[in-house]
Amino acid sequence: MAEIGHYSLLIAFFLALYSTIASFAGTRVPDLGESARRAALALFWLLTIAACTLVYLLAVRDLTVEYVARYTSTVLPMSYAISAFWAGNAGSLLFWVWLLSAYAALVVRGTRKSPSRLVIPALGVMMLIALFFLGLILFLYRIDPEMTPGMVRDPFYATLQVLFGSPEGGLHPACNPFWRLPLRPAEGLGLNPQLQNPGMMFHPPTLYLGYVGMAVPYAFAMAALLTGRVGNEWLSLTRRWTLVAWFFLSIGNILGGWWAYVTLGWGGYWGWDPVENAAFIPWLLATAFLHSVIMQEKRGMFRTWNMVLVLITFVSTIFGTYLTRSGVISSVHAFARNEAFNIAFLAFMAVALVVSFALLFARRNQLASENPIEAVLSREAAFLFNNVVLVGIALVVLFGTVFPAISSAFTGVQVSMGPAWFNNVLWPLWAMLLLLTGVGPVISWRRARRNEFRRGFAIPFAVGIVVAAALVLAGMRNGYALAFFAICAFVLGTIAQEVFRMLRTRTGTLDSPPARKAPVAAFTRNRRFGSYIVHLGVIIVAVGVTGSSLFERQSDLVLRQGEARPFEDHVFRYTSFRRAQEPNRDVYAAGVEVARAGEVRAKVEVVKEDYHAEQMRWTKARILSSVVEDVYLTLAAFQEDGSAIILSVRRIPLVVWLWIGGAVLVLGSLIAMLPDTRERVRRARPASRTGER
Amino acid sequence: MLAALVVFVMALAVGAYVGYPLLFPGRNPQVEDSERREFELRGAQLAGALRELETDHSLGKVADDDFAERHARLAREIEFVEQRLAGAEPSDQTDVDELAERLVKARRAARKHARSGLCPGCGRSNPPAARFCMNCGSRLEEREPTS
Repeated sequence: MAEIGHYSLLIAFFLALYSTIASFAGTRVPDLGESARRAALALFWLLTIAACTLVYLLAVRDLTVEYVARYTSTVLPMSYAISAFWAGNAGSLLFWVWLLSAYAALVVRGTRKSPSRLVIPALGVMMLIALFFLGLILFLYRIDPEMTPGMVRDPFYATLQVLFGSPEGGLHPACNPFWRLPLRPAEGLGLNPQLQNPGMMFHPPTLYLGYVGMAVPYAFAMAALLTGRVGNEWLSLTRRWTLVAWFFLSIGNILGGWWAYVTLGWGGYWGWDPVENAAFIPWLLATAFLHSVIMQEKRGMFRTWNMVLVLITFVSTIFGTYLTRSGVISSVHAFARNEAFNIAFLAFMAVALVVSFALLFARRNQLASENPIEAVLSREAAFLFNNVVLVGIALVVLFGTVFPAISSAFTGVQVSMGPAWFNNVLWPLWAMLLLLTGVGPVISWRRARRNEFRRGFAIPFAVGIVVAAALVLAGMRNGYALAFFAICAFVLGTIAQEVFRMLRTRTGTLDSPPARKAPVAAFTRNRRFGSYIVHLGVIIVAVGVTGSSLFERQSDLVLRQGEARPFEDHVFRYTSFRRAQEPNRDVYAAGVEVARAGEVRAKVEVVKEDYHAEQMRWTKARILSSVVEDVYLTLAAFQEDGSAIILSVRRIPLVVWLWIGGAVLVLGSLIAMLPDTRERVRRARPASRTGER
Repeated sequence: MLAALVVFVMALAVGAYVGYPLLFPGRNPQVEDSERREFELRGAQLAGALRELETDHSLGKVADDDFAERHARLAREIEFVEQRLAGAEPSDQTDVDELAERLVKARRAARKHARSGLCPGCGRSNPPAARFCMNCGSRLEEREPTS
């Protein structure tokens, strides 16, 4: 079975090679172009066969396959065994390239009737990227001294062995998920207990959907540069693709935060871990791109900058994949161990950057801006600041992420850039970005006149001041918190005011029934309305982050069985102890009763687990959520006989708003993706007057 | 052995599917009336831009004079697209991208002219910030040369 997967990949590699050449040559020859489109579709089906093969091998736990033996065991639950698809390097790369082929196939299907001359070259760029990943999976290998050349059974690698073999050992593919071991091990190594969480099923796929999705706008941008059609065509063709990628990147980041939050030891929902940062940088850059695109569409500005942004966003997604997969940041030794992998990835990023910038330079004259920025107080300037701040944050995060690796490579000294460093450097930028979230959508184009400025900002400004004053009166003395809550209130004021004004002016022009006027007014401007909802989500997230990061309290309670101790207004009673043996783990569970004001609020079990195959002890948090605060309970330690425990209690205010805000943000991006009602009408009747209002 | 057979069949099927357009040229589904479709898409884009401009203006985000100028520009482009869709051939064979590019160039030229302070009407030099000619009163900033 593994052989079918392996040879599907091999056929796919040559198909991608053909499709790349046919795409670039097929821009002038329609039949070749059609063949390239078919090759892209066939690539998707071949990689689907490969992906299904791997899922099957994982599901049946075929331990003769090295990847299956390394990431599963016979006692691992089925859902996690299948999630092991993206747990390791080889599977992740296959998943990446499979998603890319799916995006390419969707582009092919979605542009069947498109007359655009950008589609075929864009397909060529996507196929080129697929070629790199397939090459990595198939042809990247290392010399394994424990393996003799005779042990290489696969005819493909046996041939490579003859051509490139070494007397020092056998050829071992560095990231091929279908590689068979010479001998079947008795048991697999199993999946890291940290990854045995529902987050594992959803977080990596959504994040990868976001990463890979950014390849589509990049491919169209490159196609525009290659063909010289650098107008707005590539933007209008890729707007929804960018939103789709951003949508998945957002979900991926939020799910990642949630997973880290419910998993003890990952530093809360955001610990500025390199892998977290690697996912956050593309999101920041893609956000900047989504904003600057509006400038090009409406004012013919930022044309070069949009190209630069889409380019660096794409490279950052590759960088994110690389950082997550190579382990180069968390362990410097990984660099030496997997040198070929590192060189291949870094070379790919370098080539992508150099070629893209060279093309950009060659077309620089065609990308001149149509309009200049005329005033500092204008929508154009606000968007420029927004971009500067977003890219600035991305650069700070990038610096903080790679600096420890660079420093230790050159000086041998391990420098740690912890959460404190990131928070200290970034808070002014966050404040500025939040402020711009309020200013940008309200301020006038070209030049804001004084009366317009007053009319736009008087009420929101007053809302901000009132909220700050109310918080001071309520006893809040933390300057950061006051500033952030006031800014959030100001931005909420601008959003409410904008939505109200939009609905008021638009409902006046509609002839729908009165009850339907407001929804019709909103959903015939989906892009605008969606963006307001996204901004609302951002503000709710900001409230959650401010509350939870500035006002958390923590205490460790030593409890004997039956004993109760208070922490602030809550009382915690240790009631029972239970030990259970499951196929893959031993579970130690302490029953705790949580009471407030004399009433029992909840009875929970705090748990520690010993995983057999992985030989790891793991603690799971129990969380009591409410809109005001989360009570976060963990079993810090316990007596073997269950006579006493140490219960760790954290009280984290407003954290639930982070997830609510995240959901609102995702919903807003969905709305922004929908076509306007009018657009749908127009597509149904293409011959109608396109210029009608 | 079974695996080898499966792989062989797969390779054959892929080869046939991908090679078909080259083996039987001319039988492929060509994009029908691609020029018409291009104009329809362009028209939809322009109509969308016009709607956005109107919403911005109704919310007080675009000044009246700016609105008038941009509205007129979009309307001109829409008119051109509609003419082509209706089958009427404009006097020259310009395609819509060229038209857009020409308008952009004209606009840049006008801006440059305005920044230089030279009046396009009488040729008198004016201060860089001036919006109207000090000699004849012609508008310096937004004028677009007809091309």
